Amino acid sequence: MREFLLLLKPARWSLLNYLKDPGPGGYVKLVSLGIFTLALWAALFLLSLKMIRSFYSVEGFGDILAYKTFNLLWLTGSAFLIFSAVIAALSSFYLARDLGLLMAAPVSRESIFWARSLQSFLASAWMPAAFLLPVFQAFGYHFQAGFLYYVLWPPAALAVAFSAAFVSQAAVILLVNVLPARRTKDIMSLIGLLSFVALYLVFRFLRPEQLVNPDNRQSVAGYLASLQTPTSPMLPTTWATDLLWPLLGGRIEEFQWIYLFLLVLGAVVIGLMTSYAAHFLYWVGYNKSQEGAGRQKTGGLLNMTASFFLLVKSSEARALMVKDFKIFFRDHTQWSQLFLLGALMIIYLYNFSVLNLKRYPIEAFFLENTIAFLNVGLVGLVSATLALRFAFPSISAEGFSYWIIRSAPMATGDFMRYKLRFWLVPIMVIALSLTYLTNRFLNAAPVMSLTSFGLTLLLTPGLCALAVGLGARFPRFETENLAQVPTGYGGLIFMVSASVSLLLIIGLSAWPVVSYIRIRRRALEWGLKEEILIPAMAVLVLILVWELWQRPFKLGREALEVFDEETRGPDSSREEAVESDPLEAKF
Amino acid sequence: MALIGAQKMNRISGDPVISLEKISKNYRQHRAVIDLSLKVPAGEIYGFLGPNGAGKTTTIRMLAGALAPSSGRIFIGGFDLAKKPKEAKNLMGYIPDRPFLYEKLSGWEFLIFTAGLYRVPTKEAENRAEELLNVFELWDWRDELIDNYSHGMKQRLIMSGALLPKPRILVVDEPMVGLDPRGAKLVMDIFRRLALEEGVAMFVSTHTMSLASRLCDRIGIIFKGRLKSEGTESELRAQVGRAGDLEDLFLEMTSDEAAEIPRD
Repeated sequence: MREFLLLLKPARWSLLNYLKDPGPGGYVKLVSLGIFTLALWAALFLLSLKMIRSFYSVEGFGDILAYKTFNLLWLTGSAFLIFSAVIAALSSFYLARDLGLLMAAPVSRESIFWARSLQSFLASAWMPAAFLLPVFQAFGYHFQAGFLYYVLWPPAALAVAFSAAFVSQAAVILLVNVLPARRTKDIMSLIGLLSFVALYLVFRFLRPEQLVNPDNRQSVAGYLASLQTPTSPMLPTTWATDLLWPLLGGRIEEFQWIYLFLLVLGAVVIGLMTSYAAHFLYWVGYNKSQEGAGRQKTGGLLNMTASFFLLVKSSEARALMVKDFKIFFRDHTQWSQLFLLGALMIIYLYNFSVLNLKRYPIEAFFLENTIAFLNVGLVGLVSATLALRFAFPSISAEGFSYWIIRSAPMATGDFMRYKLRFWLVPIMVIALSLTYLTNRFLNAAPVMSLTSFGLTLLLTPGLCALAVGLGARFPRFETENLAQVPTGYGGLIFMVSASVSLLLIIGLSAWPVVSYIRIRRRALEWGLKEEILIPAMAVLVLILVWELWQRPFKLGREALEVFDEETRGPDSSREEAVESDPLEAKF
Repeated sequence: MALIGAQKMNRISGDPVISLEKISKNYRQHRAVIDLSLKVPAGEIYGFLGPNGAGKTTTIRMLAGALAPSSGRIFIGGFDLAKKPKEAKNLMGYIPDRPFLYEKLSGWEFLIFTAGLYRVPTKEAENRAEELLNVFELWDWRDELIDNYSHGMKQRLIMSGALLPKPRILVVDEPMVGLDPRGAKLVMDIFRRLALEEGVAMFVSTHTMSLASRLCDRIGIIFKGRLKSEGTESELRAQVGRAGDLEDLFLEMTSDEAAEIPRD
């Protein structure tokens, strides 16, 4: 036990040290993240409350829908935890950098295993817990649950979470003895992502909007009837549901302690089985994980495709672009995101293809063109998401190799511009394709199509520049997983800035567009007001786009130029403080 | 084989190609480097010694353009590094102590990438890459991902990259870290030849006294951020006022008592 607690100390001390001195601007980050979390919780709570209330608007099915959703929440949380725990356990048990030191220390391997087990559990469980907490709160609030519901929820959630995490950890211990650890991590990440994409596509193609369509009431009733079949009685998630559900409906007489007993017993039994597997297989697997993946040759199709960049004239730009292109397609954490992107595009276009505007008692011309205009904002949001996923982390992608760029004869601004050019082209192609295809689906007027094309052409470079600029302002060169970079503080600032900019630009463009639709619908003449105000609005939009392009880019360049200055300590502590906030430190 | 390819220059001659003028570096309250001034002419190998935390790597990184000094000026081949960074960096190759590279590129791709950054024409870059990969015994590994390289191989690849654009100045931090005896000898021979035959000025930071003693023409000792002493090994001996090898001199000059004696 002493060893186990000792092994947890580095993580605990690191956290305490960070809280004591989070570095320049650290407290601002912590407070803003706290505010954002509270806002997210409030939003989730209110949305969940609205959803539960809407169940009871469907006569006769309110209870069964609420019960099924309650059970589904446990199931979803567990499924998410199982996948994320696999990734966390692989890193924590086999790939962490400090394992060599620990394995050489005079501590038992069981202590190392259990310390790592708890750490990987915490690393994977906090997210589903954080997201589900306000939803379960909403259930409690709606049903005016008693004290017992709130007292029993934490142990039930912990038992379910531990069971899920232990299952993942046992699976990892077995898998690493068959496949190399790095390969297992790659495969599991890819399976996780593909499952999510498949689920996302299946859910959308089921057309859930039909559930609220009054024309389909008969079939909806049939569907709901099928929901009344019971769920598997052998799953901890069912025990958690059956433990807490009677406390929600005020049916205290149906409450049974046996479910709590089953939950705890289940977690203990799965834990013991994991411990048994670890006792025999952890050390064997650890040794296997230290063996290299073997020599890996490069070449072929990727090199041929990269020769496309020979069209780029500047030798520096070409060198950077070829490098980024090859690294992107050789790193599964990067290229696998293309699946997500593909699913996003398919769903986006599908939504427009099934949009039946003739159903609404409003003139089609008005609806089609208004939606075509608002679609510019939606395409802008898609571009912002793509920029956040790909352009924003492109500076951090240099990682610890950033010294190569710093010592090369290349200006920081040029380096950022090449990054921008690299990502702008594909994002622009996607944005324009979406605009074109959705306009086709909507049958938008030629002037509206041109306006939306023009706005997309202006907005996309602005959003990409914002992403590269803020990516340089908040670089995370130390990160091991690039996919995590957009989820940090800088990513949050980018999304807020991009959304506000989009709102402003769409807001400013709205009046000219509405005027155009009004004049066309009523066959009116262009007035003096329109002739003055429309160009004025256009100029304002151009100024905003210019600012969106210039300011964050300049901010990012300045931050990157002083990056090392403020963040790298003296020789003896060079490993420390890599995540930067250089400008706040400077001013 | 001509690693630099420029016309043969007179050994250690002419104006300094590296010149530090009263540079200082502060990390918040900590003063890592204080009023450091030194000059290195073409063809000279300048050894930069100091205990841990003395300011060696900070100085090296300022010199390589990877870090800006808080005050003072750095001239590389006559170009002010702060005002003309591109021109200054174009003359210089930098070899850091830790081999962080793009793991998902092959050795060959890394060298071609480096050539692109330094605007070396494609054909010349390919010839140079082949030549250097052979010299550093990495040719058989040229198409492997760097991910699969050992520490020593990565270090040799970084050296190949630094030499590819034919620099007039080399800034090297701990050149022998991670190299086996064969690799270390190879690197030492190359450095000597570069200085002697090609007139390359080298600024080498190291903890290895034997290396400094065998390789360097002049040695500077930094202690607590200040340049404590500078000169050839025999000049250092004269400054301390007693016989002994470089290690003895180093220990004498970097003792706490020595910190009290100001350098003239």
